[in-house]
Amino acid sequence: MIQNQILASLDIGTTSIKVIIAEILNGKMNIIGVGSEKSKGVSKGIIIDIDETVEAIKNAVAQAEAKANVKVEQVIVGVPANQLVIEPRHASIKISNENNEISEEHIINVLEKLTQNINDVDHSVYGILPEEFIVDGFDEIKDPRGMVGINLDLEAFVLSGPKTILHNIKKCVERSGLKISDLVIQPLASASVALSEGEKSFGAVLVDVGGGQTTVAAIHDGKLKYSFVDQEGGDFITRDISIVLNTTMDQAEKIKREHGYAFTDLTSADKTFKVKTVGNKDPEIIDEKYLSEIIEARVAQIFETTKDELDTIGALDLPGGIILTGGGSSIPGLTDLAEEIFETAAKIYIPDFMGVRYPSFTNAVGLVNYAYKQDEIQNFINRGTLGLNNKVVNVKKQREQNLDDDKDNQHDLSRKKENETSWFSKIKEFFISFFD
Amino acid sequence: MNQELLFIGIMGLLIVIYFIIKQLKNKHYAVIDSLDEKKSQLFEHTIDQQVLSIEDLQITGESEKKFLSLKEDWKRIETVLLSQIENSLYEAEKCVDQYRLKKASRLEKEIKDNIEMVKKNLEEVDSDLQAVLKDHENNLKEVKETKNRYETIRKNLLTNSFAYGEALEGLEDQLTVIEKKFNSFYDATEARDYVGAKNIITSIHNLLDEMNVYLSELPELVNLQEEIFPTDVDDLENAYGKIQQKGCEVADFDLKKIKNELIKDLNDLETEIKTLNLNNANRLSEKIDTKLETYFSIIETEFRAKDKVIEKQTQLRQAFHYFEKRLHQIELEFDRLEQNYVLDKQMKTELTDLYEEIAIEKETYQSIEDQLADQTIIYSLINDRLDSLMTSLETIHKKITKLNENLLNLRTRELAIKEDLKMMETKMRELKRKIEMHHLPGLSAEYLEYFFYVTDHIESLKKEIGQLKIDMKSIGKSYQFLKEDMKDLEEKTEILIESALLTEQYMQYIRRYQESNETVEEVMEKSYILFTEEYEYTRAATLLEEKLEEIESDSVKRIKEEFLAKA
Repeated sequence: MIQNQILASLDIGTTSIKVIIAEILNGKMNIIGVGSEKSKGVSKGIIIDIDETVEAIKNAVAQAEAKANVKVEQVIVGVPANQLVIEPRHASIKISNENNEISEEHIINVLEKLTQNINDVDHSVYGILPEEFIVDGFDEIKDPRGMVGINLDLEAFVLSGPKTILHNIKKCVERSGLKISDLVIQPLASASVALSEGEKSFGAVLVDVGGGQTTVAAIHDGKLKYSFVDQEGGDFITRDISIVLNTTMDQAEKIKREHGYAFTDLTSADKTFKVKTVGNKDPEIIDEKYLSEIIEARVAQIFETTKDELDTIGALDLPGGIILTGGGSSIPGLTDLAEEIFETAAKIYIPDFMGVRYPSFTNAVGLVNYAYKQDEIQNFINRGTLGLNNKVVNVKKQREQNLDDDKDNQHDLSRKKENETSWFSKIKEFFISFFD
Repeated sequence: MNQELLFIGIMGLLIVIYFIIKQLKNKHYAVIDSLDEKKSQLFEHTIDQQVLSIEDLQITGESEKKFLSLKEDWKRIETVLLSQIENSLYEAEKCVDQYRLKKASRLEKEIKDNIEMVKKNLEEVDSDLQAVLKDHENNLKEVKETKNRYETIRKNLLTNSFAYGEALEGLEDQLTVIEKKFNSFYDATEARDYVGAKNIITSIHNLLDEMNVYLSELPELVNLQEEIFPTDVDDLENAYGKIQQKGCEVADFDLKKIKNELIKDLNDLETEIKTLNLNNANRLSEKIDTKLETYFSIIETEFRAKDKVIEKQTQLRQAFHYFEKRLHQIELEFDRLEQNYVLDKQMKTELTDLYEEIAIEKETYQSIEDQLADQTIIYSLINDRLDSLMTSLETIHKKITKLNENLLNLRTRELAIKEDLKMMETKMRELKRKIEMHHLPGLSAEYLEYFFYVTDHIESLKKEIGQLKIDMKSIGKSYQFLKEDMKDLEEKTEILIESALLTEQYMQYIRRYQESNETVEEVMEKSYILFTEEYEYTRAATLLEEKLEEIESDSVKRIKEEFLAKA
């Protein structure tokens, strides 16, 4: 686990791009800067316009930097779970050096063997989640480095997906002037904060209702066992409202936020509100029940699709039930509808950190949380697998440096003046000496 | 040598002085000669000849007096002034001879002034003498014109004698006076008193001017006095008779007295005409005309008053019927509304008062109707009373309309409050959603209590207004309080959310001083507890604000500005 350092995460979502700067101080994570920029080059979780995305990333980073007074150089980036393949794999190598001590090189060799035949033209490894290392038949070893043995086996889940997704993410981050310190599959990141240790261990389903898509992940034994992406999200609900009520997208978003319910049983036809409709001078009176029917129809469709998928693997039997999060989960009544459809307990997760108390920030917060909590061997595996070059930034050192920068900025003018004075003095001295 | 030169110099100087003096003397001689020339011209004036011509005419009277005065003037000029000038000329010449040039200059100026004065006097005398000579000719010419005017006036008077009524005698006397004046003129002319004759002609002209005024103004005055006014008096008598026949009476109208007054005025007018006192006659004529006009106006008003009264009677009967019907309808509305509303006692009193007011006005009207049955009624007075009655009824009508509006208002207000209560419910839900959207750790007991208090208030008002019989006065008051509470709650909510969000912003910002400032940690901790456990967001924000102000004075302002810009 990383101690006392500053971390930054980047969540490239369909609706918005979020950057969080957090400091890990004495084992406690504090959010010290938040940046959020409307997403323009992303559709259904996938980057479709690099330039637009780069621009939005830069803006979000600048916002967070200004608030935290920290210069962000590297970020933990979330990778969407679109077409994610989770494959349990096994690899085995012989330790052939003189003293039979397992080195980092041996770990890299076993990882290479594990991911053989995965990296091809359109597919690449997103990450490796080791289950256990086995040294000469001794199993459940977390980190074999420094141990002595002849055979080294690795049981792990290999996460892979379309190469393009990863390529575009890397491209955007690099063109934004940043380095990737870690790449984390989004459901893993979200689950790290949204699920309790018990839920992760005994199993639960995380449903992240984003703007453009809904990501479902089944977690069991602390591992991501299954993931599925439904290409519908909160924006679809807004669009439905806009079409049915004949109003603008902005207006639809507003009424969804202010009057919307995802579960019709919670509403009443007596409760009405006014809606400005396109082409009409006077606003129309709409009741909450009608609005709720529109919302419920779309959410039910998302949940039904999700349920069908989850039923195939029996994930709904997991004792943790459903944990809802993401920007789209803010609609009241969502848990009621989820419980009715999934026929299991459901709840919403909202990050409990100052300044990011919204479910839309679960991913961004989760990325930081996941990265700082992951152990050294996992960190080493990530570096080895994804070719990352991350560095640890000491909190105290960074903060002192930034405060010094602040002071420097404050004294910029005076310093400039001093410089000007010295330059003048130099000329003066030159002339004095010349005439001497 | 020097003495020679001095001598030559003195000699030269003396020669120069001699020539200068000689030159000056010559100049004075020339001036004196010129003045002497002018004096001679004055002596050559033809006045003597004119004086002789007039003396030959042997004029008398005023002409003679005037001529003698002019002749005296001439003699004075000839004997005194001209000889004075002559003496002065001699004196001046003598002064020049004796080199008293300064005195000579003064005398020359005096002579010059005297010559000018004499010249002017002579011209005046000459002009006046010429006028005396011409008087006779002018008189003859003028008397001819005057005679013509006189003849025209006389002819006019004789041919239109009937138009001048009693004034004829006076006018003829005036003609006799003029004729006598003509005789005087001829006598004066014969006696060669042309100035006196001229004065007589002027007086004849004045008399003829007067006559012209008489002749132009008298016919109309005579016509008024003899024809128009007497006819008007008769018409007035007839009109009054007709009114009486119609069964009307005119208030304070004593025809006999009025007629006597008018006849007396007419007699006075006749006297003034007879004595040719035009000013008095005109004044009197206007007075009689005004009086007649006033009397006719009174009779006409009275004459029309009856028709107006009849018309108003119909209108008032309809009005009373309408008001009674309207009040009855309002009473029924009262009964109907009483099923659903607790009616204001004041409204009931107003209805009773209106019934009473109408009854009083109706009684007044009945008494007028009774009076109208009498044959000798003064309709204009009745008309005035009916007008006043109508004004009172208009006031009653306004009261009825207002009462009716107040009744209708009950329903309108009820619906408006119901609609507003719906809006308030929506607003409450919106406030709840607004708070929920920010996923705050919790809400303070104080806020929750106020929130539920307002919710209960809305509910209780909804129940109150939903009852079968409602008290709109009490509901109105309660509604006003609720509106204020609602506004207050909205403000509290805004402050709560703003404080919570600002606390988070401050918390993130202040962390940068966590290492460098020893007390920051403690403040953050306190603020965090207030935020997460006590839900006192305003206090939590204030705590951080104060600390930030202490460390970095402008940071709070900047964070707030950024926050508000984003909000």
